[in-house]
Amino acid sequence: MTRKRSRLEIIRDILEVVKNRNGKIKPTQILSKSNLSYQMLEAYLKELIEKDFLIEIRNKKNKTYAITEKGINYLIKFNLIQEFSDSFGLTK
Amino acid sequence: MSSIYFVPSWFVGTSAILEFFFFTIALIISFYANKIYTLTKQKEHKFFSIGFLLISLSYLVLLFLNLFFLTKRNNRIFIVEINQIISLTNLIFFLYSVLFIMGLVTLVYMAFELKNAKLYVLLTLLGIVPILFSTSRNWLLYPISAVFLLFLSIYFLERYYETGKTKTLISFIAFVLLLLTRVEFVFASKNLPFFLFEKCDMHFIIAHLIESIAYLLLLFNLINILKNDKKKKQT
Repeated sequence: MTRKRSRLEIIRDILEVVKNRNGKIKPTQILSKSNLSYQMLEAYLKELIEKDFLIEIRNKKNKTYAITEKGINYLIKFNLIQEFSDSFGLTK
Repeated sequence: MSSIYFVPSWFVGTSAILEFFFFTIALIISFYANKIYTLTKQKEHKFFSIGFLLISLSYLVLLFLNLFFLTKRNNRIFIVEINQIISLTNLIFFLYSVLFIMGLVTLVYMAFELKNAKLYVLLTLLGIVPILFSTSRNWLLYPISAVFLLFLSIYFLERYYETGKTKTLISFIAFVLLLLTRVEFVFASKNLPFFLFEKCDMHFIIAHLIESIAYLLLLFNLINILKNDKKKKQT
């Protein structure tokens, strides 16, 4: 049985999905690749936008998301983040 | 009536070195936790950093107390009398207690995902007010901080059960050892007549030894994190 993902891992997965689509992706595309429910994804996207990891781009037809430099930095440093959080019990 | 904070005369230098060591390690942990917070913006990293910063500052204050305010009582011990009258030594010892308790409260606040700031204030006051009004304030600090460390140890044990990782187990053991130091300090700092101080000496030394091991374990974890990060960068 696979272990449940931590918050940090879910954030990483969402950011990776956005980054792999050259930085512009629709919510439904993130939903299908991130293995989250719609409500959970909405909550995470809201948090990531508030914390400047993602930006929301709205046009007349729809909205898309792009990753920011902070978001890319998170991905680059994810191993350090994960190691620190695991070592000091900050992984939930 | 006054309570007495004492250090065995032959241990004064070592005690100061150890307190500097604890201050440094706690500060380094706080620094890296803050670095992680700037990357993740997750509250738990922020509170972890603040908690260890407050703990490190408490050790700095204790070091200051030990270096400049101990007076020689006899050939065997140096003391600071902590009494009801407002004095600089009182304030410094109280500041050490406040910082240490606040550090632990911050970690508990993080661990149990408390969201209400009033709860933080309540926990801090519950920790500090008894010390402020006690006639044995140097003794009372230790059982109070032991209670917080007990709950933090339980938190780390639960995290270990979730992750199954050795590094989480190491942090759990470190916090259990910190809890044990509080118990040892209780025995070391009871208001006993001077002729019984000899028995207190051993508890004081054992407490410092256990505390050293606890911080070495935390430092070991941190060094491993940085080593693994460097390895992954190279690959």
